Amino acid sequence: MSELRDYALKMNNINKKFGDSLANNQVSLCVEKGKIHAIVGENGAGKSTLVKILYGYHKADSGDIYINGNKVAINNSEQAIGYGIGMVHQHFMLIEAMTILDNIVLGNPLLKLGMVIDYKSVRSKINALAKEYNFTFQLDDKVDALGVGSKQRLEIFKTIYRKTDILILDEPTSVLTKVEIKDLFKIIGILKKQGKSVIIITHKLGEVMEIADNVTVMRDAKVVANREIKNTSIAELAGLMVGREIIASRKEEVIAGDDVLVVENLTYQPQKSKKLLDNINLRIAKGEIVGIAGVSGNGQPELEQVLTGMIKTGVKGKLRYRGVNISQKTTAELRSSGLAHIPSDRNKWAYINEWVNYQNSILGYHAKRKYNIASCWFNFPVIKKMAKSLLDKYKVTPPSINYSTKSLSGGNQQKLIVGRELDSNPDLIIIAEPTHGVDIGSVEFIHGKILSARKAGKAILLISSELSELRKLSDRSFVICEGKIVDEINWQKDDDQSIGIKMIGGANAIKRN
Amino acid sequence: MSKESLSVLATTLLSLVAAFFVSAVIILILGENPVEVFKVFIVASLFSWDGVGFTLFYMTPLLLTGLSVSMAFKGGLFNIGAEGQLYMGSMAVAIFAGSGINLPFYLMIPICILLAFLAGGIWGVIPGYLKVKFGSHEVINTIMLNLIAYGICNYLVVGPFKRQGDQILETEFIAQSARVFRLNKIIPWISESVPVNFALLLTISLCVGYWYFFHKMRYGYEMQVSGHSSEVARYAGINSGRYIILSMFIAGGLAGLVAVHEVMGFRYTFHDNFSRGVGFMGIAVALLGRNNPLGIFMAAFLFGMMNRGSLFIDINFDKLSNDLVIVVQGVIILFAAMSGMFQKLVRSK
Repeated sequence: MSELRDYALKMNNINKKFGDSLANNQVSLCVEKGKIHAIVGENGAGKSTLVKILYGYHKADSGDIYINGNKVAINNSEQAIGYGIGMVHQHFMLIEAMTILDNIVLGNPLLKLGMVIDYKSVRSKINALAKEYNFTFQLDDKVDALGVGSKQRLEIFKTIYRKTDILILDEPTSVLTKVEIKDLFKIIGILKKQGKSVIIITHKLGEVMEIADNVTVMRDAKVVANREIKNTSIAELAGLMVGREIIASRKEEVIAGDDVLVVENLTYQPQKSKKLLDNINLRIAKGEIVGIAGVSGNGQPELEQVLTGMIKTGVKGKLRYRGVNISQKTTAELRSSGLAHIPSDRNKWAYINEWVNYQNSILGYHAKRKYNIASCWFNFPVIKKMAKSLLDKYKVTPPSINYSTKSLSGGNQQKLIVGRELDSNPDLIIIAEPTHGVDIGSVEFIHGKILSARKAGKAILLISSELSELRKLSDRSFVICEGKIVDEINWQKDDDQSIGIKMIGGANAIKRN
Repeated sequence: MSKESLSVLATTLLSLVAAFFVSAVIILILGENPVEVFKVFIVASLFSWDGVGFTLFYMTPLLLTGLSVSMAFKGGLFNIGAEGQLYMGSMAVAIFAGSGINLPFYLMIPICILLAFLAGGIWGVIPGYLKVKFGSHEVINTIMLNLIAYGICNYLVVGPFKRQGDQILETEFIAQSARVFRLNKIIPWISESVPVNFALLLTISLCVGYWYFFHKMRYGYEMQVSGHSSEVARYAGINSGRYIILSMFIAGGLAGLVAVHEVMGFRYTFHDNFSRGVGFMGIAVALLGRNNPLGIFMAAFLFGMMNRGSLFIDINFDKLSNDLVIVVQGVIILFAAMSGMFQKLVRSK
């Protein structure tokens, strides 16, 4: 067992079952000291379950955990923290109303006389640590004033303050901008230098290649491969993840038809706020995909909501749908006249947590004549039959209409929503971040479905922060920045870097900073 | 039965068992045998036709207020105002039917039922409207409207509508044609002294209607969407403001229907301060019944049993008083509110 000692962490033959489904099947993981270890896999492959077992949220059915060669039992997160394991969740565990200092101290106060927090020594300890790890904080600022990247840095610092040796980062880059990702990678580099081990869960393979030393690939609850980064490639990892070669779908030529949606001088300014959308002009024709690129937080969610009728007050300008002015139409009216909407935030908008698949599969279309008898009683046989065929057609697993939508993996939830919206036979589809937090296999599937909607002559607006997605799908694309359409992208000429410069407000903005 | 509802049932039963266990310990400390006490509860409320009749009698208003609270829950609101709503409904019926007006029963009874629903409904709609219009919280507004309803009803029953020539604070007796029948007319085993009446049948049919509304109808679906999340409602094109107002109107109306039980079926008058917290007990019933009509029925029945049984505690036990039932109900509410803990226990099995 001497080899065990070289590893900061070793998990051996972990098994975990939820109900009838196996979440971890004989999973083993070895993390070396001072190394960055990525765990990649599709949604539902068992990555999250594995680290939740490590962090004491779940108890493994069988299997052993060794830390620095010693066998340990972890029954709750307190014990995990005691063993030097720290975790930064996808959704931050910060108290927004409190200061940075209090958030760091929370759960691990230094006490004077056993009851009073010794702020003086806490501050000096934090300052020393911050210097050592190259963090800068204004300790007395409130957390709610921080940006996403700073919040994440604070979360990481919290774990350092608690003397973490093994840091788990769950999808750390999914909420960050390009610049913030760079900063994060710098921090991870510093942690590595200090001899800490970092476990990153992700499905962004480019980032894995950039930052990690070792990678473990999971598929269907099992480990399918362990690789050193220097001996592998994105293509190999992607292939291992989905278990098949990914073929980039080629776009067919479709001749765009008449304009379906015309947006003229659209401005949105809520009360006591700056303009969130500023003089936007767009045309979307039948059979074309118009893309909107931009760094998140530049008016994309507002554009999405204004076009779908979810925001009414504070909107100025002309919206014409098939030649008809729709600026006064409600969301319900728009939906019944052929608007579909795949929203950017599916957890907030697209389904009801407490409901099962067939109930969620008619959301937004529940008033349709075919689902109702005499327009107020549901026709359940029709609804359930439709839901079943939807789940099959869009390959949602498990394809059970009575399965809770909340319990589906992110990719399967999104396939259900994409299916519901595309199958409503719309003329205009507003799509925002369709593959956010979705595994590679589902991304391919969803992209294929969007392209076949285009082929069927739908007019599609695609708002996305993934340039590769827009490059692959869109016919024409525009850059949005601070609520304005600032430029059109020329996919032949522009490379990612020059588009990136447009997205942050052009070359001038860079000089200013 | 689905796995989900099985686990809900198991959770609820577990919290009930725990509650009765804790109650038993309390009874032991007080120096009586808990088995004997629970036996009295059960014998008194179930082992005779009159016992069952009284249990159903006590159950009826709890079932109505439980449905009322639950209806508001479904719309995403917390209705603490059932007490005020039931007073307003009852006062409206007492004034109308006690005014000397005389209509045939087939007009009088439907009018009175409608009036009870409407008066309670208006009292419920006010906080709903204020919430939609100004965003003011319904909990505060329903509590305040309770106090206003007490004030109004107190004033009316002490002042302008007090029955003359009597010490008791009651309104004039309502017209014969406004009185609903007692169940002993159709179930001969129940004796005439048991006041359980037509209101029970009305309430049970409302339970069925409640289930039907949320399981079969589009409007029930839309109300649930709006109750679960106003953001999802906005996305799906559902006007959640309309459903907040509708659910509070129906909730208020259901509480107002206590008038049918109390004024039209039992006392035939508005008796000052008659409710003594039935509206608040409705919150416990809805909580224990998990917003499911069958669950609410069973919870209301259980509370009805305890109310009936409590009358026999003084007589049978030296060291206990009738107020014991308040303790037991309190413990049950406590455990029902802690159901998250029991759910974890059930899930881990």
